[in-house]
Amino acid sequence: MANDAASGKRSEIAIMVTVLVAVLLSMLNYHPSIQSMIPNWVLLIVIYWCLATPDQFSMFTAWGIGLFLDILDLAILGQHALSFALAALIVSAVSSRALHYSLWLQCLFVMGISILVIGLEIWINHLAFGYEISTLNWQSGVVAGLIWPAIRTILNKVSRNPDSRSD
Amino acid sequence: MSRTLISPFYQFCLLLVLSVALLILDNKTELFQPVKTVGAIMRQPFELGGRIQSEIPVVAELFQDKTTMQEQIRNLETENMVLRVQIQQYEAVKQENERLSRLLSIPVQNPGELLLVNIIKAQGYPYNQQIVIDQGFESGVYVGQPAVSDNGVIGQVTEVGFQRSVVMLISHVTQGLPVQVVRNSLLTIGVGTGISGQIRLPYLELEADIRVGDELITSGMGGHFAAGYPVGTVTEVLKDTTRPFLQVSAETAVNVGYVKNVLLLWTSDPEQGGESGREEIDDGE
Repeated sequence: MANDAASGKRSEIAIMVTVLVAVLLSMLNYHPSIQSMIPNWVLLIVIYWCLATPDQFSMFTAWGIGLFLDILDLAILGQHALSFALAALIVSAVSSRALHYSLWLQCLFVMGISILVIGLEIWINHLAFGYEISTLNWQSGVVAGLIWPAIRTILNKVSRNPDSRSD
Repeated sequence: MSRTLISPFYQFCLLLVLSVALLILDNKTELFQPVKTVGAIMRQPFELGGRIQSEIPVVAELFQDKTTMQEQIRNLETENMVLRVQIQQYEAVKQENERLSRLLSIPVQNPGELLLVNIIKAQGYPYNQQIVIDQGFESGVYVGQPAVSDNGVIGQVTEVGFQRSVVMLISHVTQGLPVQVVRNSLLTIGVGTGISGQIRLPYLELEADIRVGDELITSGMGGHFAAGYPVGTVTEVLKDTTRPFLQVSAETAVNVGYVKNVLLLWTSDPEQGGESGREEIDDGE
């Protein structure tokens, strides 16, 4: 049981580090031709931790991370917060089953959530500023689903062994 | 981490109410303006990656071939020479124009000071039409200040931090810019669409003389921009007689994705510099 607490602490650190790395990735300047295909890195991280450690990662954490991203991105406050909370709700509802999904099904699942989140965000921007829904960049959602296996593999490594020196 | 007793659904409802409250407050009031300033400061460490990225071409230049460099210098010298000759003509034309303007008693518009700034981040998301630049009120940047590049108008400053400012592009939906058609001096207003690199001209009457390919420049009517900066080119003119106005779209002259440097302008007219609020156009459709 003591081991449990230690691993909980470790995964908390892992969550923080991976979120920060994802934010860093999302701040890079991508070539304009691929800009619309860049997945929401932070969302992928949120989905992973919701699936892998539902006990450590609550919906409130997802909401907080979203709010952090809103502040950094100079976006309308609450936009990412709400959409990440929604993603966390859906993921946590199926997390016990989704772990046993085949890889393909997981990819589709991630793709669906990503597109839903993009849709929600554009809808919020539509209500706030009158953006046209047709500007929805679903491509980034598809890319998110396609690179999910890679993200999962990397994060599996991180979560099993977040800090090898502490052993 | 504690397991909360409330079911996930109610947790979500709580967060939903919180988020909607935040969204409405942020959209309708200026309450969170300090938070945005904090955000602009918090961004700085995360921009490190982007800054390293922008240094890569500089480092790559160090390893460039000597002959290519010489070639480049020669090309630049030639270009410089051509530009110098052209500017001589420009000076003459400018003086003549000023003289004629004085004769007709039209106020002369002088280009004011310029400041070359770097883009730190272009567009967080494809529908977030703003860029972050590396100068703030420390260098005298003010809200409403026009930003241009060598190709034309980019947008105007909407938020100013200490060493950071946000420039909202003319393609942002809240932006409106008084423009003029070069061919026939037709005056109208360009409005952002939210799509990168696209604006529309929603207030042209059905009989208005406008065609695909018409060049648009700033008319100088809004007060922010001096007249004559390129804005874009008309790409589509739709005439639907059931509507009161033509549906005209235009492509902006500047594709921000490919711009490295931005020029901020200070108008020499003291009345125009300084305090001027964000120009918003009510979309009356």
